[in-house]
Amino acid sequence: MKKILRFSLYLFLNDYIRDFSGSFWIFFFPLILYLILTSIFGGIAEGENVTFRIGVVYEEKSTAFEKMVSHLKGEKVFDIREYRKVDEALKQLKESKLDVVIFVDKNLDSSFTKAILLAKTKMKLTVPIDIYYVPERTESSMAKDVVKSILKTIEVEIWRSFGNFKNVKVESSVEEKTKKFNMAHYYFPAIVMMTIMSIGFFSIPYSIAEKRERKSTRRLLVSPFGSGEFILSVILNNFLALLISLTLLFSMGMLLYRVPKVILSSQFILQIILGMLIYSMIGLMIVSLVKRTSTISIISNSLFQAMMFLGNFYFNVLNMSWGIRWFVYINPATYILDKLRGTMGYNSYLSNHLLVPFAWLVLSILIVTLNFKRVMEVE
Amino acid sequence: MSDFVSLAKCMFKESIRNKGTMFFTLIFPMIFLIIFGSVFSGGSVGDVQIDVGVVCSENIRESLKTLKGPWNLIFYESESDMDENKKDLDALVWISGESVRILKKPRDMSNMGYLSSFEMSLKILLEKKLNGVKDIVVVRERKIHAGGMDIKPVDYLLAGVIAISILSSGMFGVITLFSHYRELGVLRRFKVSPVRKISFVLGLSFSKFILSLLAAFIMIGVSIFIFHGKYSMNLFLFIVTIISSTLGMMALGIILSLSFRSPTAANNVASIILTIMLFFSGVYFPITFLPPKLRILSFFMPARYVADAVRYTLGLQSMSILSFWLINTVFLITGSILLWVASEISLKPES
Repeated sequence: MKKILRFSLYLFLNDYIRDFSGSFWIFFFPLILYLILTSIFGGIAEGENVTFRIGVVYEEKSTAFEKMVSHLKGEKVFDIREYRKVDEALKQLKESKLDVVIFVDKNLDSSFTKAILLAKTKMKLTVPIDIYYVPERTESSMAKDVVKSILKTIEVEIWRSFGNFKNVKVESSVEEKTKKFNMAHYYFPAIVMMTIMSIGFFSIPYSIAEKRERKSTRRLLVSPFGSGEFILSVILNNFLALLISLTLLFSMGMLLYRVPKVILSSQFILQIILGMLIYSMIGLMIVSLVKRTSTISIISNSLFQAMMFLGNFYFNVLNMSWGIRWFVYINPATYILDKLRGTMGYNSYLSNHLLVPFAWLVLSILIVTLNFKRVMEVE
Repeated sequence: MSDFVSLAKCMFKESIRNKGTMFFTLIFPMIFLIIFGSVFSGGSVGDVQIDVGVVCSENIRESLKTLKGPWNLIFYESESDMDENKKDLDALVWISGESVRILKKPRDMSNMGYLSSFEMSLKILLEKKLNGVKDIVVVRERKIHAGGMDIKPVDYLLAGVIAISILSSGMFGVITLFSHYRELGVLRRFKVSPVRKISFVLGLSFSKFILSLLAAFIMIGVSIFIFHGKYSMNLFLFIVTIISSTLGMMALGIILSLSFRSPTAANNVASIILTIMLFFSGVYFPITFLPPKLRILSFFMPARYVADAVRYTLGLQSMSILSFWLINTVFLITGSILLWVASEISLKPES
């Protein structure tokens, strides 16, 4: 055991302390990515960051127009710009300088007055308002939906001004467990999983493959240090790296973003250990199936990106077409992450969190055992 | 001329024989293309469905069914019925006369946004029903396609992915090549050979242009084949964009290679630059969604301009021709100057 610990420490110094690249990807990159993600998405759930650029085209200013613009200006998510000519505004929309354009008819005041007067009778007259948007641009479609729903509140406001209006009282609350949806908290388990996967897909296989290419593993085999002890040392070394990385990440999360203490619970930690075990074995499985480091790099990179983006890390992928959704369901990261988020209080998407991860664990152990000679390049 | 041709040929052959280079230039961007194309092919993330449990009177039910949105309204007879199934619901709603109680159970970011939108729509609908509000404002949606073609959101996104791949292959390709040449001592051999610096730079650039073009055309082919993408390409302007942006990013790659002696350090810094560009260039996430202070950062991201130029040349976005040439000229001039400086430094005779 002492031998293994000493060798693990040697490997740790070699892989993570002497090699800046190793320490960068495992210790610092997760922190940088976490910082970037929370800076960008920190206020999105509350709509704090979003600013939609709205172009309002009027041919003639009118009271109704002024009221409509002031209604829109009341929403801090809008940056209102006024135009006199529709072509000018549409040109800006096409060049992505605006998100939507609202076109108001020059007879808006009279149309509105007539419509309101007739509304009290059995007759009906409507006032058309055109919203131009670019459907291929996400922000334009979203801005259109928001503007549309706000414009529809105008008629409710008009009715309210008539008096005798029955107001609907909405009492809205967010489930106790996730009182305030916080993106920094929501992304925390994703960054934890990404770090675990980096170790499984890159650190472990590269560490073994490089030694194999330098023929160090063959030398080890003729020494009293056995191959099993070597593999165990590689895993222990990477567990130590993960421990340091997660300590940094947990400290950042708890001190900077006030991530709840539940991340220190045994349930959360156990999921991390399970994730580490599974991805360590997947890493070993890759080394056992592929010989060259360059090919390992190709496979690891492909799997890493696929499992990360199709694992519900940053956006919900469970609504996709079955052509690709099957991968989400066979991806162990989807389940481990869902469970980690569930532990933090978020509602889980999936019910059985153990079946797929354990299937991967068993499969990878089986393949590594059968191909063990190839891991160490035993002649 | 002949040394340029020979060098370009050698460097191109060297690149296509290198499995890693080929993977990261041609296949890796394709993985992103397929992942993001599949994820965002519905305009948003797939076909969103928000399960909302509702307990309300019979006459309200019919009105609620007119609510437009991704809501899957599930009606329950009693609170206890809904409680039994609350685990699978995104929100629980109780409507009784003029009062409404909503309990939101957010699962993710988009989910939360949809639930807020649901709350607003529900309030308007109920107030209109209770007060007999007639429709006065009719909002007419007018679709405008920036490039003049009827395209899908995924086409717009894929053009951005192509831009990112051009940038990353230009930057990483050069870093890998320079570190590789330095490790093998090829640069030293060049120094003692009669090869002109200009031929070396041109040969290197030309081989990269060919690879970038190849990667871009393969990606366009894949997006047409898999996602039925519609492009109206201006081939000349497209090639100009690829050449200028590859040149610009190659120069950035060379600066990093020269600034950091260790290839891994150069690669790491390049990765940070690329990660920042991915998030702040408006390719994957609209710039409108960035916090105001960070929005300024997007103006300094080459990816933002390259993405705009690529979309323009593929007929997906409108842009003034002056802006197009300005972007390309800036990339061409800065790229050429930096490449010349880099060749002067890297092929300078050792004392």
